[in-house]
Amino acid sequence: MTLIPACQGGAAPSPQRLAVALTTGTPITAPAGREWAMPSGDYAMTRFSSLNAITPANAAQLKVSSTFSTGVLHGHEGNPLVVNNVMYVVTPWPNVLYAIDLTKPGGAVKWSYQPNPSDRAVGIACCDIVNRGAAYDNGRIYYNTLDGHTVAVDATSGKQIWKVQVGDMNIGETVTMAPIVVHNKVIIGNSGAELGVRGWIKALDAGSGKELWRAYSTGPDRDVLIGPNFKPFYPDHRGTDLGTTTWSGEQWKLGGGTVWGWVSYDPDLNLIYYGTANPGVWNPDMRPGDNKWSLTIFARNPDNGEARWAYQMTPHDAWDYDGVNENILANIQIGGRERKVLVHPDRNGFVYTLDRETGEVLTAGKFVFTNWADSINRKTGRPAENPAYRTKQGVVTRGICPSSTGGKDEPPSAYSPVTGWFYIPDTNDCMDYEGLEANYIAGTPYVGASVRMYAGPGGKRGGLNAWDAAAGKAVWHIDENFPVWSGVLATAGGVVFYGTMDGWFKAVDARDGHELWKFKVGSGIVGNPITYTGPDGKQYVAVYSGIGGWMGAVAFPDVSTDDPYTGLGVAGAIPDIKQASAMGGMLYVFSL
Amino acid sequence: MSFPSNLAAAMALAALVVGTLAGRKEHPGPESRAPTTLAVCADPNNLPFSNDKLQGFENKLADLVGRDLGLAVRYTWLPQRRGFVRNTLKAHRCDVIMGVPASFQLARPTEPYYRSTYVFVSRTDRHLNLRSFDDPRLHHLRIGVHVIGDDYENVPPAAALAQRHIIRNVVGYSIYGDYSQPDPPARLIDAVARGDVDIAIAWGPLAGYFAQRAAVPLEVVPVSPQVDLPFLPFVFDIAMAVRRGDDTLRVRLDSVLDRHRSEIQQLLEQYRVPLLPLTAVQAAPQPPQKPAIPTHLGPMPGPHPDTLAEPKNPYADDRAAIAEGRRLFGWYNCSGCHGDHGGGGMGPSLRDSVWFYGGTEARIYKSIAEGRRNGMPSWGRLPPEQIWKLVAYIKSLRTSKEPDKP
Repeated sequence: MTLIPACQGGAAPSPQRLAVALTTGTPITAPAGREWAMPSGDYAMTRFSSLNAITPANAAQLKVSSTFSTGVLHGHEGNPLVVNNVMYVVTPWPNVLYAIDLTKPGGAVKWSYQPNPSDRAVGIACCDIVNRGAAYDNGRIYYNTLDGHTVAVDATSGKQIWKVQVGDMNIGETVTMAPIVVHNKVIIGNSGAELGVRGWIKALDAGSGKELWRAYSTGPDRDVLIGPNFKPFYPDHRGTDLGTTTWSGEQWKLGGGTVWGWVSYDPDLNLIYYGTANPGVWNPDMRPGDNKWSLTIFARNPDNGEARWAYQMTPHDAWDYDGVNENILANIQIGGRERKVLVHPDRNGFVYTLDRETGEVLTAGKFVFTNWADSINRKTGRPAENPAYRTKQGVVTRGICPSSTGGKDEPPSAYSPVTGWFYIPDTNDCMDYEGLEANYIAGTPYVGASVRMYAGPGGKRGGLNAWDAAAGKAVWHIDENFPVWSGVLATAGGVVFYGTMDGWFKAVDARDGHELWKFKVGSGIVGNPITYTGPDGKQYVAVYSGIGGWMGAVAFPDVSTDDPYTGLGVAGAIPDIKQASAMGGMLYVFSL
Repeated sequence: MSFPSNLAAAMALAALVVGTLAGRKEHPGPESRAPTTLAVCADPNNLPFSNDKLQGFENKLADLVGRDLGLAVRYTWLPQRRGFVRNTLKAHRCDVIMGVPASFQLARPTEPYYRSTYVFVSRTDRHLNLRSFDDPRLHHLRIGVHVIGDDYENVPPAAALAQRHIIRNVVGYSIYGDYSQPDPPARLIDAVARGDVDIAIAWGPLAGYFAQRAAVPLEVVPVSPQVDLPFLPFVFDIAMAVRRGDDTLRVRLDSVLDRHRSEIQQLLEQYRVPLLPLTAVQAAPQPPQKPAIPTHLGPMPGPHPDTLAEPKNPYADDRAAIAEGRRLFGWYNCSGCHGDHGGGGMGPSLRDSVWFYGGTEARIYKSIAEGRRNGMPSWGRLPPEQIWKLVAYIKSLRTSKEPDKP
């Protein structure tokens, strides 16, 4: 979708005008509206809502309408769901599921479900004890627990329908991602690439929890579910068993490429899309080769798991540039014709716009200061690397941008078909990185890198980026003092919502980023805002407050900031976060 | 591999460095024990370490020590094989052995004066560039290793290969060899140069010296990893050794080593000894007497933890041990959870003043050895002295003794 004329001018479009504009668009799946039933609102992962009662004209009147304490400190990533006037909240470990009856004044706990995950998981999860949320489908709530289980819970009664073990903590596996449900299959993936885990994605039968298929991210083609229908766009993605031959020895067995981010789905093409994490052990010299299929976007048939295409963003990762970030599906005008695209803002500093039928790179532009590569070669799909910034064992490589946390990490962007822009929460950090010899000891970190991060050029450590995917460049940018580790919400009302690590929840104008309203919540925001219609017909906006996650953990009292290498290097980037935020765990709901 | 066999591996190394001999006749000869001499126990045919033409670096080192202390150097010659220590040092026929592993049990070592490693040796024209025991090519290449007797698993590299099921393509070369020939252990390096084996895995000083003198260019690459888990090291600190109780001489030798550190370094470099940095050298660590795990401490700190009689860390304030603890902190992935310098991350900070399970030496020991809830694994399979060294490092954080400060 191209820009609609109303949005290129300076005047604020009226709600009516926006509503008209929306109907002229072609969202590829139904966007969220009165309810928010999937992790990102819709299958296309747009985080866009058709609700339009809150507008740039009235957003300044937003106020808190209710709050709810989750009873858990630590990072509150993800977001609640709202279905049938019930809000579903999944807490960080111990992963309690609360059902909140929105028809009661201020909301009331209808029931809670306790999966009682093992406390061992707390010490095995790499990046705080987070959970990125649940999926609703056909009367059930599905979500994962940190200790490697998936549960199905009756959305009305709160009774457990099934609980199956999907990961093995003994080898360092945890599960933090939010599932999606496609064709009665619950799609899940594992976490633990920092512990030498071998990544996989699985489909579980929604009725029983039985595993229907499993596709590994490394190993021989039969494990990766690469068969005759696998048709990657680029030549160096073709060949037999690249998941083993692009590694030295059997390092692929510890090869990472976990699937801890987001999954999107195109019903017309019947393909799911997701990205894989960093290769096992951060020290690149311990794993010569391209290390496929780490840092790769896969397109798969959800019915049998077979791979249709793959595209590796960062061959032979030397920076921990996980490829798990969101893949937003949209149809936009490029070069005069409508293309079915997938837009992926990657950790490595580039936003990729791919043809989602073929995996071809259509545009790839830098959305943060990036120096490890100059550009992406559209003929080969490979980055034009700057050799000075390729890290090595035993050498401190300095001044690499972005840092390992990336131009952005997991917090998902939003896409507004009204403006045609993508709203990307970003991080402006650089780093020094030294590869170290690492020992594989099952169930313990397998990292092999000494990393120290610091603010990137300009000193502002993050912000919100409005991105034109057709042009491959930013339209505007809002600077923030701290990295933005909240997801983004875009609405048909023309308002974009996001939160900051120092605890400001903000509404800005979708057209120009003009700040409309802000509210200081109790603890920094690393969750993702949603919107829904309450039983009273009003539009509500909800977000978690509760700093944590990889970077946000620097705010915790048991993390020391006198060592900039703390937390795999993030402490160096935000040593001042302790003055800006403390631990918390609270749901905030706002309305006009 | 269990801990007892890694002791065996360490002893096998001791055998390699010190040498062993069963049933050799002693060299006869009067032994002057005048206080004006430095009486050295040495092998007459074991370059690059020593020989009776005084060409080895241990000969040069003995000269250096003698000069510094104003003592004339005398030798008691005996091939370094089984019984060497018993028949020389312990028989009071000489007073110092110039090179033993720093953990040597049969005598009292000085401070270590160098650290070396096992190495891969191959012909440069083969371009093998092999550096890891985990390189899959090791399953196919013909590999030479030293053996003592007929046990193919008795030196650390052979054990490392066996652990990886690399057995059939391994060729053993006797460390004894034919003693009528010069420097019998060097046959392993000759075999590489001749092409009898594709690659040899040998103790660094031997390999470095003979590789340089080979007829064809040879490549010498330190093995990786430095330690196989749970504990089979390929890197060793080398010290001199005196008789247990001869602390007067030991202290004098330590002071010589300290004064001539750079000269010794140059000497070793002349002999092409592959050197790794010694992490710390100031203190003279007393080997601990098997510290007991403090089992009488409860699972949580009691109301008066400081009133309990708790074992003390035998390595407390020992800079060498603290530095070793720092290395182990990375080696066992402690740093992965607790931060590069203990600042925390996945696991809690060890740099702050909060101790969930008690911050005394014994309670930290217990947390490491037994594990704690919320994911701290049990490391009870580590040798106690390593756990105490880790404790020593952790207690040094944010003090003036902290090595490698952030």
